[in-house]
Amino acid sequence: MSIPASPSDFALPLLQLDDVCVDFQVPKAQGGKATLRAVRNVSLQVMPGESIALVGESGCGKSTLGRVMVGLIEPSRGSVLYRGRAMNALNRRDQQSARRMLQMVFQNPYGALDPRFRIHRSVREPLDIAGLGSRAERREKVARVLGLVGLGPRHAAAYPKQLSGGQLQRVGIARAIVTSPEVLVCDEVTSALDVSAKIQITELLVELGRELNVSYVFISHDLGIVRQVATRIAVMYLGRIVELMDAASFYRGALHPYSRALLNSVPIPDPQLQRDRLSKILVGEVPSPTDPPSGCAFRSRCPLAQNICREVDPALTPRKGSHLVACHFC
Amino acid sequence: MSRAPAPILSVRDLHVRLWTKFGVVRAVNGVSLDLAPGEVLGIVGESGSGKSIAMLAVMGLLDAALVDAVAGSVTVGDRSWNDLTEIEAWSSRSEDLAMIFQDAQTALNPVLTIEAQIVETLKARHGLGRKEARARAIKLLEAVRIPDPQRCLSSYPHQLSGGMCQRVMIAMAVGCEPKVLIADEPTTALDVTVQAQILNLISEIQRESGMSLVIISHDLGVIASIADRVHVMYAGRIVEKGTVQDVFAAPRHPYTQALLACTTRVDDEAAAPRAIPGALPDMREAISGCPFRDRCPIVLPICATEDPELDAVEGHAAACWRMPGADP
Repeated sequence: MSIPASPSDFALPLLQLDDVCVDFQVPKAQGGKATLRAVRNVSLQVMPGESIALVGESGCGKSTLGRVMVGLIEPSRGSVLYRGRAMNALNRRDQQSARRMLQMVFQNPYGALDPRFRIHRSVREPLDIAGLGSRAERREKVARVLGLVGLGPRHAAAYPKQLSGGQLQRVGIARAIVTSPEVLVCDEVTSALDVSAKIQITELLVELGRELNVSYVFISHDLGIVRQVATRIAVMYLGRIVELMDAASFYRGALHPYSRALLNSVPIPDPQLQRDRLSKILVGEVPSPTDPPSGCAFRSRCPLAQNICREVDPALTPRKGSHLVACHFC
Repeated sequence: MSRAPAPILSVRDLHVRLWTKFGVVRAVNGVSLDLAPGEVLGIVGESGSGKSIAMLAVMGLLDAALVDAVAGSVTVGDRSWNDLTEIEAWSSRSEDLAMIFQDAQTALNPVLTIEAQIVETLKARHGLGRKEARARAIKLLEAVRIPDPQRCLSSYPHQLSGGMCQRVMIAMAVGCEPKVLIADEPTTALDVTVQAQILNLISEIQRESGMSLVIISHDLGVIASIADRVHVMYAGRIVEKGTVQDVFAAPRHPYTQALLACTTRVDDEAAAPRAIPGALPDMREAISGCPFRDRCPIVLPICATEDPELDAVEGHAAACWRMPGADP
């Protein structure tokens, strides 16, 4: 690299996923059970200060992978290392303190909050559970964190139903950062919001990331929003990462045919350009994850597919710089 | 001034007040619109703008238990309805109007097969026998590009993907041969690649059948995909109208400008989106003056007292005191 390396280039990853698989047993229509491999052989590192986006359509495994990262789902195979130590090898106490460092914000903030608790109590709850600080310290921390997300004492005393969707998502973020985590996994946090509130929440996250030095795993299907927050982008399809590259070059330089189809499918507010884009869309739907195609999972919809794609599942291999692509033909 | 073809659908001065958990909300405040035969009209606005409620009122599908008041008139072809609270109005308008919704999976009956639901609709609408209706159903499913229509007919909604369910809904709606199809956020629940397919499908079917289409969406990109003209709604009013080319290239109302400025883009022309400051006004109160004035960057003293009217003339117009010719 020609530019001077930033300190994070030498830092150890906060989170390291090695060859992670997640299998679920799901009932079959004809009776019996089928194995659904929601995440397949994923290796990924989350570095200090970065914001990595997991993008893809429903069923691609991005939310499952996010849950594996915060320890809500145990991988069926492979390992998750927090600061170089395997999560499942930690003793109970170390595991608890590691989990405080890995927090999650959910899509539906109303569903994630207890409707009977006032906002300050919901935000304080993680501190109570972790037994952090005295009562006065907790109260002070809650007020400070609410201030950071742009909410005041009036909101602190309110119940969830009295706040707007955007305000509730701010509460969700406050609750996640109150234990001063190092990694924040944001699972579709803007999906339920109106356009303007989406922008406000992404602006807040970018600002908090800088102020609190927190890394993000930003799970989203919205490539327009991802562009505002991500420094790296991982595109997922049927449980695999098919492309991994820095966000700045993704929007013009993505190579995998699925990444390109995904980018071309997002409608843009320009009638002329948009009609042209619509004429070049991807055919078919995502195949059933219990019965994925042999070889490359994307081959059933891929315009470039050849015989080899039926037989060999392409591995993620390097292109220019740190750009990785899993495709035989690009 | 009269337009060349008589409108297929006309709405005049529509007002809707609804009961919500917050009290009575003035959801729609004086909406008027005309739809030409074969035209695609986009209605765009954020949640709470009244876009869906206005179209449900036109259809006659508002939940009677939640309605506090409905006023205005609807004309479809040569028939008019001046009392929109009338219960029978729905069945009489349903001959000419059909509607599809955001969540196709819940709009279908979960305990009936697709066949039972399509055949029931076709029997009721066209008086077809069972066999004829089934043959017609297969034709319709082919028209909406369902790969295996026979298998689809014997499926239950939960066995189909969200995209397939929306195709079934479109087939049922089109099977009624409506003069106007109203599509309320038809792709919002779908993944982007499927959204693009459904938008293409709706657009093709509209062009082939020559029916008129109203597409409601919060997404300016969806409107840009298929609409000829667009109405921008805010606080239960239409604040700007015009062709999609005019409105997207040169938005006139400050709300339309703000909405475009906060829309993200994935193409090369992406600029940093800017959020709209403030929030929607309290819709329980009758708003005097312009409803956007508290969030407006170019507000005038008159905006606090008088509500700007949307110019009735054809073409590109915005309800704003800053517009040329809008002086009181």
